[in-house]
Amino acid sequence: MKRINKLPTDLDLDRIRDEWIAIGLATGPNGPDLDRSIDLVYQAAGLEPPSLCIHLGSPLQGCYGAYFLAQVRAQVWDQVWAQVGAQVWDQVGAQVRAQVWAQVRDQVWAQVGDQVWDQVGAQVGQAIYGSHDSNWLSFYWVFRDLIPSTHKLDGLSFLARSCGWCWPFRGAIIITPRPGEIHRDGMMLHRDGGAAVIYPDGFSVWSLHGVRVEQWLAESPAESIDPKRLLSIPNADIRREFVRKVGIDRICYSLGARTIDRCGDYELLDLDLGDGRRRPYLKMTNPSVPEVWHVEGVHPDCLTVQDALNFRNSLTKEEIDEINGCDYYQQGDVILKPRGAKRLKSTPNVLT
Amino acid sequence: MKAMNGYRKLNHCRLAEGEATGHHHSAASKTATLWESDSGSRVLSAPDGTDVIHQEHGPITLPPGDYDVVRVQEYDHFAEEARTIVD
Repeated sequence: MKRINKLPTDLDLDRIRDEWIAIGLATGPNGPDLDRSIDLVYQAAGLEPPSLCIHLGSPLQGCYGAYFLAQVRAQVWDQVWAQVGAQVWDQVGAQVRAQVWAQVRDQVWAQVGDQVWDQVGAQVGQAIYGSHDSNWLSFYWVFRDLIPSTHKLDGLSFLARSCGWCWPFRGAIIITPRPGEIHRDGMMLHRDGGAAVIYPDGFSVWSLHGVRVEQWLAESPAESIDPKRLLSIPNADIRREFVRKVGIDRICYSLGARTIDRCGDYELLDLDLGDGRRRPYLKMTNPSVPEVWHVEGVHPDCLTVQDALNFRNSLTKEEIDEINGCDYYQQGDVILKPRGAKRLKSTPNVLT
Repeated sequence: MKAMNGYRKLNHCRLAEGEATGHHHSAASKTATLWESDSGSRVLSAPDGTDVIHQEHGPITLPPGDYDVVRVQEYDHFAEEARTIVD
């Protein structure tokens, strides 16, 4: 087979990217080419088209249905991927991946598909993701007129335009629809006051600024939420969205906050836990989203902001050496310390 | 990085992933590798250095070397114990 070292100059990658983003974020009833798409998927795998199409109302229902049927997805996947994957990857993959795949993935999979994934559970791993497969399908679509074997993916590509998640079996296929509604703020899945993704059977995903949250936090009016609920939320991102919605001033007032220490954008607060105890919490802005506040519990022995930061970063006073200590790096809640370093500076060299 | 007792090489370079967002901290260099011990601690090996990227946070550039991947901790005053931040 002839090797492709350069893409045709008239290939419009931006148009392909936008087309597949739209496919991935499409809502509404199944498309008209659904039956033909299913036939092509099975033909590509060397299987007879299914005689039975089971239509269910959401990915959640699809998971339940799939649980009861013996699956042939692996056969579909292996035969298609083995014939198409290597040929394309070895050619001009990096260029297309950067321009098309990553952008579609970020907008569709990371914000919609992945959140649906989290809610449905392990059964989703056996699905064909229909419209939510647009990330990787967009990549191979670029080569459709250049590499004949990519036509093996026509079925999956048309299926992505026609429906939501599917579970193929020998002789039968479970089909679920695309969402009825998808709400976003920019590229983030977001809806304050309702579900951000709603399927026809009512299965929903609630999300604030890209963070999957429980229904009460997304749908309750801010003024009706008890600020003290902050203390019972274990997930830091969800707690951040709680603070953003309820308001840091209202939370501090409700929890009787008293300032113990201040340093830069950090403030060590003493909060009333409501059970007769007051304990320290570190209030800080997000270095990458300055208008957003975080509130995190720190060890009861912390008396200063630096104590709190040392605790947060798992640093003892004996490990800190401002002159000879090694630099380290921090990105959000992940710290990267040079392996084997005995002494470190008190603050990261880079913090984002 | 040479293989170490108790560490296994992972087939990805996602240092950590947020369960509520799907966002992840990832090493971008093709020569970077991620290792995990039996206890779950991770080491990033970046012989040529690497950028670490995340969907929300700005990128950081690491010089060549091996790095312990440490998660920030917080204190749960109701359970009265320190715990790794979960996001």
